[in-house]
Amino acid sequence: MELSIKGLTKQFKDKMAVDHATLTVTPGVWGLLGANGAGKTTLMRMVAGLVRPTEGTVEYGGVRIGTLGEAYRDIFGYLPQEFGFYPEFTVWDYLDYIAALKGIPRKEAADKIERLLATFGLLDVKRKKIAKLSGGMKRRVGIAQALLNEPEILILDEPTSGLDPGERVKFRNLLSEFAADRIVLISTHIVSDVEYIASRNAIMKDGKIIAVGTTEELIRQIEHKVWSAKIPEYDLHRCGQEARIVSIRNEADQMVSVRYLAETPVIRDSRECTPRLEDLYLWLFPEEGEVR
Amino acid sequence: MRVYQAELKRILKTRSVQILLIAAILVSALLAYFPATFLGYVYEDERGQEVTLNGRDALPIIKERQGQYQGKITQEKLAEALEQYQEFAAGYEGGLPNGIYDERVGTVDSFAHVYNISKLLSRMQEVNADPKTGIAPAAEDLAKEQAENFYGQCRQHVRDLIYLENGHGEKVDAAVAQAEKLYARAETPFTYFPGIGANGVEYEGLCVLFLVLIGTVILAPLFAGDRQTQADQIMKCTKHGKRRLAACRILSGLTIVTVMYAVGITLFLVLMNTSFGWESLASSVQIVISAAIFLPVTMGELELIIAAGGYVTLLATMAFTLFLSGRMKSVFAAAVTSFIFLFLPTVCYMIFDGNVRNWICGILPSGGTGLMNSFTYAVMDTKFAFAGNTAVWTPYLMMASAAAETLLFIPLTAAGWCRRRS
Repeated sequence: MELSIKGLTKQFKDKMAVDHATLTVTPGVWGLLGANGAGKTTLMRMVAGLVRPTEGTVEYGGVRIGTLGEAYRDIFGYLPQEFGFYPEFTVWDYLDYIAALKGIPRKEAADKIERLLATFGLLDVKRKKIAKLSGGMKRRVGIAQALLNEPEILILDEPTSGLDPGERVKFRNLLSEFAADRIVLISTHIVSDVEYIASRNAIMKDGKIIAVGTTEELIRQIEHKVWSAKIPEYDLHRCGQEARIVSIRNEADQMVSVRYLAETPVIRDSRECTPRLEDLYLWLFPEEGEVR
Repeated sequence: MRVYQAELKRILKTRSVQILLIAAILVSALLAYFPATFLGYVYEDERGQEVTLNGRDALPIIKERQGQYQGKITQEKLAEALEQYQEFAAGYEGGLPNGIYDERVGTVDSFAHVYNISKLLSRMQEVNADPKTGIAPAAEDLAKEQAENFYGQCRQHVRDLIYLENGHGEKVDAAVAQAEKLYARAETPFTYFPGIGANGVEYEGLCVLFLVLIGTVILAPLFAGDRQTQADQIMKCTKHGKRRLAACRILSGLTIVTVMYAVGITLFLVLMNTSFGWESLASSVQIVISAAIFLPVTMGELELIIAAGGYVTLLATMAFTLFLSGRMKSVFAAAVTSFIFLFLPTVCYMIFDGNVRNWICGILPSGGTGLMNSFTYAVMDTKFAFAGNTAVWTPYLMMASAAAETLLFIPLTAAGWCRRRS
């Protein structure tokens, strides 16, 4: 089954958050990439049925999600970017509460919760109040709740923020397994999260979906535009003005290795590099100062 | 059922709710303690020493002294009481034009000769008030014939009072007709057993106010809290996260405040009635509080009516609080708005006057509770809200509005929760 986003638009007073976005999401992991404010969260909220679109529709299996109603929510899992917990709830209480809302019978819910707690390394803290957990643990609880009903459509908004590298890898592997015959849409600006597991990616900029394709297809756009070179440290500033520097590594003798983006090499003796999704991201969003 | 149980558990696990529920019990018990503390009696012991008894200590002697007139208050008993007073007043040169407040009357004497008949005297003075001014005559100015026509005069007094308060006209005639119809159902002769007084039912009204206030604090964050923390985003994406969750949340919220109210008001009434003595509940409200009350009930029945009216008001106020909670984006905004609306009838009562006041205080969801404007006072009063030639007794208006608002705001709350953000 496909999730079809057709001409989805959201206008907030004077800001067009999502501008006629059209996308057909097929089973597999999808990465939704974009800078902050690109419209990813608003798009996801409309897909989740939380925000009313100004224009356009979201359909699953050819039926509008509003018409599907409860049936859609029954096969849907959602992890928002920001969300609250009840301070008095323990991890178990919270997951049991969400399981009730998801219509999972008590016995079945208990088994599922145990399994998910084990998967996400939360067994030791299951009787601990969520308010007392670290940010990463809270995020894991959030991911666990989204998976409780084994959804056909799983929407995750910035799921790995707050997770340490080990947890991130574990999470990516789990998603790859989970997404075999399901739709998983991950919104992120942490490119490495989706680079290895996304079967397809959609890139958003200024509310529009500007590119869709596999990682290989997308990075083809920046073939012959990614370079590396070794330069003296003092030359770094000049180089930064002429090209978009992706990464810098200190070398011996006050030299630095730089990886940069440019139509043509701007440093003598530059070597062409194999492009990565992160390079594409920075090519498309040059205003994103931070190198991830 | 599972969602309802989950929601009930969630609310009851909230620390603030637990504290508020305990507070509701404590406040109810505390309020039940006060009415009996206003009692007092002064007498002279065998050695001629003046003894003052206060609070519950005074109750046995009050019951003993006033007990001589307890039971059916026949017109003969009233005449006898009047004679007793007039004999006492005649003992003072020139009589007692200012009643027992005359400086010559000692405290012990007033308690010994007048206190035991004070209720009967007050009622006789009340019903013989001047229909033009409403001013009651002094007890010594009352004639024996007036005591012997007490019940006939009671009905006339109710008529006079309504005309005095509202003027004359077709609409007031309609009000008088309603009042007379109710008054005709009051069992006469009235009954009196010493014990509970007007303070008791006033404190019951206060207890209702506190319980509604606590209920408001409990329910104000119910929906707004999730919007503030964005916890609603996950819930609304679950199978039962919309209509069913809204319904179960409303139901569990109302269940909690209903149980709190039932326990609180029951505790209050049990403690208070135990301290005054349950037999005094058989007294007619017309003797204990005012002969102009046209609700044909005993004190015990009045307590139950106030409790029931309080519950209807509680439901309306809670339904409106939940509605506001669903509309607000923060707990603070929901709580402040709920409190404003909770006390709006009290404020309106102070600002407005006459018919406008009766309508406003009658139709607001929390109109049945407040400091001066509550259902408790309304059932003991003769106020009507007029529209054209129609007259509606204010307690009826309060209850009808509250019931309608409960039915209106509950579905609106659910609809507000299910609505997608624009």
